Amino acid sequence: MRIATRLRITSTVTIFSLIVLASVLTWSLLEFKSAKNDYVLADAIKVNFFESASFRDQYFLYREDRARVLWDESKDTAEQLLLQADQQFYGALNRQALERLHRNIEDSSAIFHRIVSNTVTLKTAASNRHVYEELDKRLFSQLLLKAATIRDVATVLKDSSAQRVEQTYKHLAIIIGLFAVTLALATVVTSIQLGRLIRKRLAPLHDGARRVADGDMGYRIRCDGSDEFTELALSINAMTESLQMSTRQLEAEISAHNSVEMALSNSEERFQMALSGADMATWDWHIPSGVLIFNDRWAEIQGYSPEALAQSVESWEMCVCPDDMPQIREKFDRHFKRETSIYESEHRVRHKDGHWVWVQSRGKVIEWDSEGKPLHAMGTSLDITERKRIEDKLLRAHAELEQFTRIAAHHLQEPTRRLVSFTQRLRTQIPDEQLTEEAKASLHFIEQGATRQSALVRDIQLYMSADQPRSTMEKVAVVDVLTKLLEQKASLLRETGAQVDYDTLPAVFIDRPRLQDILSILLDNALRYRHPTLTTHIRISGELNAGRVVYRVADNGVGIPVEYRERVFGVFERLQVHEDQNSTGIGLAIVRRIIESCGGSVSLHETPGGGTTVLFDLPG
Amino acid sequence: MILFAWERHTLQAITFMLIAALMGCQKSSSDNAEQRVAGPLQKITAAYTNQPQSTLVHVATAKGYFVEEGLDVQALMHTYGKAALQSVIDNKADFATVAETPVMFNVLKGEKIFVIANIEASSMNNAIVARKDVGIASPGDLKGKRIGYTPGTTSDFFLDSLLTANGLTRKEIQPVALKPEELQDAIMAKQVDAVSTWNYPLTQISRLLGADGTIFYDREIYTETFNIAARQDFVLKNPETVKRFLRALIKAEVFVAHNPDEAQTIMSAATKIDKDLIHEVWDVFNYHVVLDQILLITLEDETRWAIQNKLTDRTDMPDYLSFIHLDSLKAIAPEAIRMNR
Repeated sequence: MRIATRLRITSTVTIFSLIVLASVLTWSLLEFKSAKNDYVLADAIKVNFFESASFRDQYFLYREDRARVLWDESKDTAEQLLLQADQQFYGALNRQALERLHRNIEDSSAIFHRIVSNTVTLKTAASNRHVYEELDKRLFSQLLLKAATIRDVATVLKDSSAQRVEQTYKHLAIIIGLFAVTLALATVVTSIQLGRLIRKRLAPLHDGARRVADGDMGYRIRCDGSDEFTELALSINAMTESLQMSTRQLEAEISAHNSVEMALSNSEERFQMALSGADMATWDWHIPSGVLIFNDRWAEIQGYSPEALAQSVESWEMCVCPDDMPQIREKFDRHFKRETSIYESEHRVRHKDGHWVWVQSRGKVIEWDSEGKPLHAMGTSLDITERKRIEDKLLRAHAELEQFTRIAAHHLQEPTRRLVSFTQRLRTQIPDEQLTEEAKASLHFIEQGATRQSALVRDIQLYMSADQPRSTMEKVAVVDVLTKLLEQKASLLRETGAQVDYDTLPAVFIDRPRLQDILSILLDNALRYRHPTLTTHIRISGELNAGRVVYRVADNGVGIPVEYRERVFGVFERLQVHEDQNSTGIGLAIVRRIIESCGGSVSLHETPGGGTTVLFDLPG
Repeated sequence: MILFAWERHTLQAITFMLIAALMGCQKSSSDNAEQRVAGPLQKITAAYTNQPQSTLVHVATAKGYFVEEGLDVQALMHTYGKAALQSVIDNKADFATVAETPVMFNVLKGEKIFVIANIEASSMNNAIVARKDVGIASPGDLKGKRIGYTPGTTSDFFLDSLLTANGLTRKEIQPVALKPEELQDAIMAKQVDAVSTWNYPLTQISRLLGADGTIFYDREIYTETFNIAARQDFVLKNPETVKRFLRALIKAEVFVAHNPDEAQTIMSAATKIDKDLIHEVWDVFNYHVVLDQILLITLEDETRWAIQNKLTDRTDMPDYLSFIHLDSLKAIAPEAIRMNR
């Protein structure tokens, strides 16, 4: 049975008992009040008797009318009291007592008035005066007897009332006692029963909870019955089940966490070793406060001890070469605006000795506030002074080589053009019948060689300048460039019957000439290595992906075996099977050089159904 | 059952309270418990009358209350109390039922008796029944008439009281001393013109006279008492017997109060008197076992009358309290003692 039901039953029984007792108590109170009223009335009757006796004695003393009148009034009062008593008293003995009182008071009245009458007679009596005097005494004696009876009966009535008061009081006390005892008993028995029940039912819960608390997650509390404790046991079991699952999950997570922590520790160790090995400095910048924490290597790069440098961005900015600050700020700004995934800068800082030290700094914001502002950034710095020196040297060498190449190309183009020009002049000035076939072939070979040399020199020039923009770097609409290119190659396209398809092509960030070179070389290759039997079909498509544009130039040509797909990007590399005198073997090398100089990559794939697909990406 | 200390203490307290309450009830009921007497019955002799004043003794005998109290009461019947008291004085009986007048005369004679209880009181038991045919129509007409009475009894005192109440003296009538059993015949035989007597003869004579008779009551001039008297030495030597006797009478008092009709049947069976007659006079009597002021006042009144009329040699008022034994009744029914001096 549910505890709530038990409590309801107990409460109902208790309330019922209390209602019964309360009714009996009310009845007893009314009885007590009635008994008390009877007592008061009996007392009043007795008091009246004494008043009457007083007036009687006064009359016998002086035989005056005043005392008689007072006695009569007292008798009237007695009659009224008896009338009241008739309505108020009950019980056979009380009724008998009242009857006796009535009779004796009436008798007393008769005797008293007879005495009064005899008193009048006495005043005139002469011869037998002694008889009336004797009568007076006899009557008075009888009056005393009646008075004694009245007093006794009134006393009995009063005693009876007092006894009834005492009895009803006793009953009242017993009932109140019973009331209190019943209440106390009900409370205590209920408390004990509930206490026993709760202890009995709580013990398994307590033991179970303790076992679970001690770690025995597999323990389940026995659930018998249908009361609240059973529900509680079921809840605890469910909670234990959930706790057990959570514990298992937590253990797994802790294990994983430990592994991760260990890995992290190893990684940290390796990182520190790598940093140390790479001679890298680290920095940790709290952006709002400007606090910049760095390691020893950081100070060492600048020739200072760690204590000598203040840990603030302002202090660092003072060491940076003023010419480099704008680009540093711009790069930070772009990173803070999330335009770049990392901050990367190469700049100069002043060494303690006064010379400039080139530093390559890389970092990343690792914490942002709720408004998206950077809070915390970390990064590394590397002394690249030596690398810069070598790069400078290389740049100079490259520049010298470029200059040499340009000059050499220029000088090589001139004789080539002359060879072609003079060859053509010879062919026009010497009549055809004067030239032998051998001479004609020689002129043709001279002209062809000069043309090939010119193309070769042009492509070498293109290759050498491929990593440098040849005009402004900008967002270039690829469709415009392609349209113009297709117009230039319209005759070739007509000759080959090739079809070029393209849809919306995303713009790329590059200089227009080099984009044109890329597309031109790839279209030429597609047309050059077309399938002998199929209509050449070239499909150009592009899509944006993570800030870069990925382009596909797919043809249905002869294709390139997979083992040659990397090799063909080499300078002067051509497939033997596709030997073409018009090919210089530098085209794809130029394409790769341009694309890679823009941070992209290029690769070859087989077009589904046959052919070659060139896949490359450029900044969007 | 395993209980905690506080639970044990609480239950103990409640049990104690219940036991205390029950003991209180038990004490209360034991106070009212009747005392039973075991052992052989004590033989005593009670001299009493067939008068209605002796009703309580008849009922106690018939209902076995004396036996209940361990008494084997031998009845010594008399026609009137004076004779019954004489049996006690003569040591023929231990208790007698008697009116106050014989008691008074015997005390004046110096008999060592005790009144141990008053068992009846009435203002209407005594009267003078007279013959109309001799010209008696009112009490005043008694002047000069022959009036029968029983000397030394209430009849004697009542006659005097009624005469006094009507302005007459004994000298103005012709008193005729007769035994109680002679009164009826005397008046019927016109040997006397009126008789002063008590019930049942009073009503019987009145019935016999019929229209020729008249009765003069005077409830305001005299109150008769009927009492239990015993020799002083007996009372003092047998206090327990006296208490048992009184206790039986008290039981009879209760029975009579609650069963008047059955009491009348008992009286009729015991006295061979017609129940109608008993019933007719029943309300005249008040049956209470008491010792009250009425007895004392009446004894003193009658003593003054006896001395005044030289019915005794004594001239001083005896101390009647010395002849009224309060202790026994007080021991068993203290509320019945209503004597204030």
